[in-house]
Amino acid sequence: MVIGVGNGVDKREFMAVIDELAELLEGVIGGSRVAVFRGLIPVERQIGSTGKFINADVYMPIGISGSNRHTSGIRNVKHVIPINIHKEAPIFKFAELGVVNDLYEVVPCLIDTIKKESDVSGDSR
Amino acid sequence: MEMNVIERSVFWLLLAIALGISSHRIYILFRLIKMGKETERFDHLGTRAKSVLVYVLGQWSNLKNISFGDLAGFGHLFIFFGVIVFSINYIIFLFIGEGLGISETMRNSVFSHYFLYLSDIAGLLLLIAIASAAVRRGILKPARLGPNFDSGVFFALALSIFLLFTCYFTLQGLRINLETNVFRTPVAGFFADFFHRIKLADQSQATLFKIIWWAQYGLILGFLVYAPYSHHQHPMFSPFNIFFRSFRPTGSIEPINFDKGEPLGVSRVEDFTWKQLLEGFACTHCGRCQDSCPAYLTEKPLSPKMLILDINRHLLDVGSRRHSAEQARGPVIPEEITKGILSCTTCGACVEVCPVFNRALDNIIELRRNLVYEGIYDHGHRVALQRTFDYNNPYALTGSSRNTLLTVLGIDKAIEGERYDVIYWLGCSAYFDERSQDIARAVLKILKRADLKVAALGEREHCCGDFVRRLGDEGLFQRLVHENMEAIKGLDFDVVLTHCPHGYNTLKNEYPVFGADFTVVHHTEFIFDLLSKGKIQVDKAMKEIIYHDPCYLGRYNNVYDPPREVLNRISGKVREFPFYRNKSFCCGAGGGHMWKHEERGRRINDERIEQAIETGVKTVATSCPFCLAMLEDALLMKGLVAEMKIRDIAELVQEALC
Amino acid sequence: MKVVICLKQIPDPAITEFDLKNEKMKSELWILNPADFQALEEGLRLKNKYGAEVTVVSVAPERGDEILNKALRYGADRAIRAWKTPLIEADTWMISSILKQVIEEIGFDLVLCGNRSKSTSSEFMGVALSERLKVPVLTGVVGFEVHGEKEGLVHKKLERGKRETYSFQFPAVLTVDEGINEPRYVALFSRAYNEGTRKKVESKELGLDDIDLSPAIELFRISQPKPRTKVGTKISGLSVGSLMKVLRGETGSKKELFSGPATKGAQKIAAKLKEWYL
Repeated sequence: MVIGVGNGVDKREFMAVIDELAELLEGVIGGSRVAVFRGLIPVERQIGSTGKFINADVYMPIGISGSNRHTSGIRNVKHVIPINIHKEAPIFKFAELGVVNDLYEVVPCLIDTIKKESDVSGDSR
Repeated sequence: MEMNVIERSVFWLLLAIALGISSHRIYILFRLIKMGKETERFDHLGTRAKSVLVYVLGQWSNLKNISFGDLAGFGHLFIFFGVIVFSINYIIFLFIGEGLGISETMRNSVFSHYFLYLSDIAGLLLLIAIASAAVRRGILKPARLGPNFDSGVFFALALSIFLLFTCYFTLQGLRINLETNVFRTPVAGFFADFFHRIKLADQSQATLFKIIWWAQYGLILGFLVYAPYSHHQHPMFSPFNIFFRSFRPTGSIEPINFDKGEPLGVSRVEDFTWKQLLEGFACTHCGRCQDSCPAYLTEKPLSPKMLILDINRHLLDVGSRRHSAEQARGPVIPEEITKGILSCTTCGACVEVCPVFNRALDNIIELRRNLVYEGIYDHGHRVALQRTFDYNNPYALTGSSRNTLLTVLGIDKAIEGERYDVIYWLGCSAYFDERSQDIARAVLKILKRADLKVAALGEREHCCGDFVRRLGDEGLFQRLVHENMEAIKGLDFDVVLTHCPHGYNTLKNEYPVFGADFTVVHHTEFIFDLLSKGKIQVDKAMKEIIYHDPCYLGRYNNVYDPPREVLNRISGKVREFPFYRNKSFCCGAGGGHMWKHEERGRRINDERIEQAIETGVKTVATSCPFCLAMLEDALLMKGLVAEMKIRDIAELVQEALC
Repeated sequence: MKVVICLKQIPDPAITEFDLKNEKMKSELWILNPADFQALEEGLRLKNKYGAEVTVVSVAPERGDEILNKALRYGADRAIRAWKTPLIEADTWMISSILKQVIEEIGFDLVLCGNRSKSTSSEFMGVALSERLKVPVLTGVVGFEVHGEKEGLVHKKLERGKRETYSFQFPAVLTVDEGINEPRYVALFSRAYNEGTRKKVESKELGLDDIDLSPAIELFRISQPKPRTKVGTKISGLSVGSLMKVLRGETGSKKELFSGPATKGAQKIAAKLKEWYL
């Protein structure tokens, strides 16, 4: 499971929240070229034509517009769930489920929801 | 005052010894240079001789670089002038005149009067120049003379030269006092009066003369011996370096002949050509290359100057440990020296600016070829090369996607039997990068307005191979060349048009040696042509624009004016960067850098965008899809996307079409 | 240490036509199966590190020489191609009997191959080889290390990024998952390439008695996903490339874009994640 961060994540402090989400989902954090430039992720975690091609089952691009420089790296992914406030963002072409909303709201909600669910069902294994 | 027989014998003996030591050293250096591989440099002898006259005697090497920011050339002019005059002076008056005992005759001709006058002035100017050079190196310490300023050595040299000239003028002054019929020159006269004023007796002056005379001689012989050992050998070697210079344009590369089965590229000094080894000795240590290197200026571990000098030092090191050139191959050039070569963007600024025509860039490409041979890669480069090997493009997308783009853009796929005006070589960036597709759309609108029949190659167009070659993978490059030539063969068209300077440079300059014979034109040239012929019209409605020269269009191909002419037709105010035309500052994508992250220092594209921001202009025009991508990335990173627009010239023209 | 790598040559899935009527692959371009290429890279790393002897084997007609030569140029010490014309209809079980013959002749400590191939794949080869060679097999390896001359560790995927590690003794068969490594790049006319071109592919023509002619499994059918009535991808209008993607499930055939409140969106995501994970 891979989480991607991009141009939409413009507050560096928010990475702490993303980290929490990644830990909950036991996923790895990657991102687009902009994320590398912003210092959100190290260069080895860039996904795209100048970075890595990922083979994950699930990819959640958060705040990534989806230029084909990035999406060429996710062609092998089975399920893509983007979160992006712009509904015309090209990333949604790859989406199985896309959420068009402000990531700063959705991500914390998602964390809460997941925590609640795992409390209810106990540890999954 | 002539020397007696004994003195003259000593004179000639000392000269013989000095010359002996000196020439032996020069002979050793010559043998070191000969360790290099063969290269044909005896063609076009007339042009070569002319180069030496213009650049060396005429000092154009220096003068071409002079600007408000770089006045050091003036100093060199005086030094050069002074050294030439005094060499002639010493040869005529010292070696011939006094050495052969005919100094009285030599000094009394009309010619010698004028010449001594000239020498005074030359000497004075020389001293002023040396003094300012010493101040510059020791106190002002301009960055390009570093990182090793070696101030100590240079101060010692400067001091010696001062001593030498003090001797010279003292002797001239004493001559005026002691001899009759001596032509009085200004500075010498000043010294003469000085000795009068201190009331030095004639006898003492004569003794002083003898002492100072031998002191001067000692200094001269000292310089003769020291010169080929000093790291300031350039006066001896640079005229030869300029004579044997390459006429190939900046950035042009020799193909490899794989049939020879030799290891590729350079791993040891003897793999360089003798001309490349000569460059190390001809280097003047001026550091202009370093000062214009975008990698060095953004704190990467690469300096073209240090590369050339370190290779030279390594050569001296290697040579001193070998007794015959026929021994087994020497040691590999240490990684310490070559560590920066992957940081090079192949922008060519170092080649452009070098006063003695050294080509650091060529060395870098040869070293890179050897890295490829040994299988050593930067991660990003390996990925890009592997993808190009498998998919014929670095984006790892299939050929059929190229065909899809043709449909999307509305271009015909070229077929045999049809005649086309233009074959549009879209280039990998346009096929696979959305922003570059905007450029293609704009170009197509323009071509349509001009009623031209256009087609593209679709999946048969493979990567032109530019970045592959610059990374050193010549094998893959030649494979791509052959594949592309097969695709074009049999088609009927006027020109191949491309909007990418990398494709332009490769197709135009590097494919012909493999048999290509079609005309290649860059879209800015083509658009200019259309405008001049009235096939399209534009409004001059655009506001202020600033133009960024791409390295592969400007320095590599000298295409500076057509883009500017085009911009002048659509905007009333076209501005220039402080570093523009052949001094343009690279965007950072070349040499395979698009596929690799800069591992250290600031980003090169940040540097350029900061230069843009400082000019205050809101629209930057480029003519290269990579420059476009790099500058837009830089803006994005700085969060200034709203403040400034980067546009390709085609996009701007298309907006202005009427 | 002797390492044998089994290579399979497959039609390039990115550009190969899928013949829906006859339910077969029409092969236009043949490539080395990516997972097998990565298995080769693992073998080459053992060679670089421990001086292992690397042999590559493939059961293929003459077109298979291409991938075997590629393996030689990447650094394999020997390459063997085995074939007999009727084998064009062979199944995994039959092919494994041939491989067994070749591998036993070479002698081995480790046999490596890809877990599945990118074309049609039964994922049976690793287990079949294990049965034929009578050695243990570990499948779906995403990482492995060698300790000393006779044993090693493999890592396999558990859910959500966890890994389980098994130790094993040589000799053994390991099948690797695609993504285990990024193979090296060998440039044309580089040192490794030149050394490789000096070696030749050995080809073995087999007698029919060498082959176990009893098939065990047969590719029965490849079917399309059922068309959905809601927001879905129309199959008929798709290009073949996209169709292949649909068949491989790479882009979901169901797509939903949700623009409602953030809390509801988060719930939808959580639901989907649950669906895919559990």
